[in-house]
Amino acid sequence: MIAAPVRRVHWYTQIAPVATVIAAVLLDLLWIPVPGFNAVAPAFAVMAVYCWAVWRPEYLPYTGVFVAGLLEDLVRGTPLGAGALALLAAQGFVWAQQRLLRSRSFEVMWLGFAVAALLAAVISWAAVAFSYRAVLSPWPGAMQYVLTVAAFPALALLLMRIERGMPRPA
Amino acid sequence: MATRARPSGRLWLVRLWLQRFAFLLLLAAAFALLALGRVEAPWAGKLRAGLLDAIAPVAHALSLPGRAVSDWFGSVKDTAQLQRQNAELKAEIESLKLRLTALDELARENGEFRKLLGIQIHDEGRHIAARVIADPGGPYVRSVLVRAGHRDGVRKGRAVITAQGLVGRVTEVGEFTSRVMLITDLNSRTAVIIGNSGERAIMTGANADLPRLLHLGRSGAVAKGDKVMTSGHDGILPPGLPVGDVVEVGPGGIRVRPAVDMQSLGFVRIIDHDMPGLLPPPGEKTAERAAPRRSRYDGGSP
Repeated sequence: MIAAPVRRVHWYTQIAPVATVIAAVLLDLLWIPVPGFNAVAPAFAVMAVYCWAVWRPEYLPYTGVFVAGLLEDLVRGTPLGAGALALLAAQGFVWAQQRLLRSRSFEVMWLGFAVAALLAAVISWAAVAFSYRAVLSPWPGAMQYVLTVAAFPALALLLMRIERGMPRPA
Repeated sequence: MATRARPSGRLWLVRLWLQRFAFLLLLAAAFALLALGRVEAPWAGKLRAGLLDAIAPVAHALSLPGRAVSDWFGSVKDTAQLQRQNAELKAEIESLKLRLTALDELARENGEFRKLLGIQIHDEGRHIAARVIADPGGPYVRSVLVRAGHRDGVRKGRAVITAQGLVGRVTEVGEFTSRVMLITDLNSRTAVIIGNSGERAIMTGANADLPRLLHLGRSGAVAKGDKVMTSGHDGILPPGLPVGDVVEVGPGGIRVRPAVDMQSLGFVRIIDHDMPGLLPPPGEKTAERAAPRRSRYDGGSP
């Protein structure tokens, strides 16, 4: 019997996806001196999860996304679990639409992100409303969604550079 | 360091199914955390407080560029308006000197009347100055992180103010960082009194710029422009802190514009002040504690 060939993966390739998702979560702490902007600042973590779920799903474990979501809740002060649900939903969407999203043009990927981010935004809104037992105004979340979709190409291009700099399996 | 990549064949299929199972399990775990979130577990509080200290250096570093830009614009604006501001400040100083003389006289009179009536006033407490280092709330939370914690004497529930008035109260305390829930947050409830009418109410945040007044006895007695102050009846915040002005009175409710501009918080002060609460500290008998406190508090409420 011939053993299956073993490919070796560089540590950088293994940790870069989760590390960049966590860095994106910490970007929530960025202080922008524009009145009211921080309340509707783009959701960078969803962008990072989406990009890695499309490009390198094997290096973005669900547990990593779950932990990043909890970290987001702890940073923002939102109910524990809301961020994790939203990020896992975005990852699950990509998983379900893998064939459609992989190896397509950037425009298709951006369109896919618009759907994934909408799913994440709606789940986040519903989760917080459920936890607070209150009807929340959807407008701040809607505004954040628009800014998130608009800012996607900037972060996606940055992550693309990181992804292209990853060593290929030997 | 090099590690093994994904295996092939049957093992890969098993791993795929395990991943699917893990996904559903994690979704369920997230939902369970959310459902249990209303019951604030001690471990969750400790985790949040511990994380505050861990993220504080990152928050501080990420606030520096924004602060630098903001300070630069502020200094340019100030320089341009220096001459006019100087003249205005001189006039204001003269006016304040006159008011100060009158206030000194009133304070002396007030003290004498209190002595006559035997009223004790609550201790105003010491103030802890803290810099705002981040505003990470997102669309559904209105909170800020400040650079002061247990080490500086900050405790949960303390009132946070600026020179203009009430900002909010401390909800999480780390060793050297704390989270302050703003009065505009959806979960904020503040017992207030409306200046001209003396009406008591609960001011509740709405995740918007203008909090609402609820549970008013006679809402007709409230008019636009009325001053709103803390009443102290919640047993958490000290009475007499300026909160804002009534700006809307109508069928949509009564709305208050906070005295503090929450968008440009730089430094705040945390009042280290014990309020007469409903529950005594562990080990202290309720009866012994309640009697002196009640008499002490009678004079403190407006």
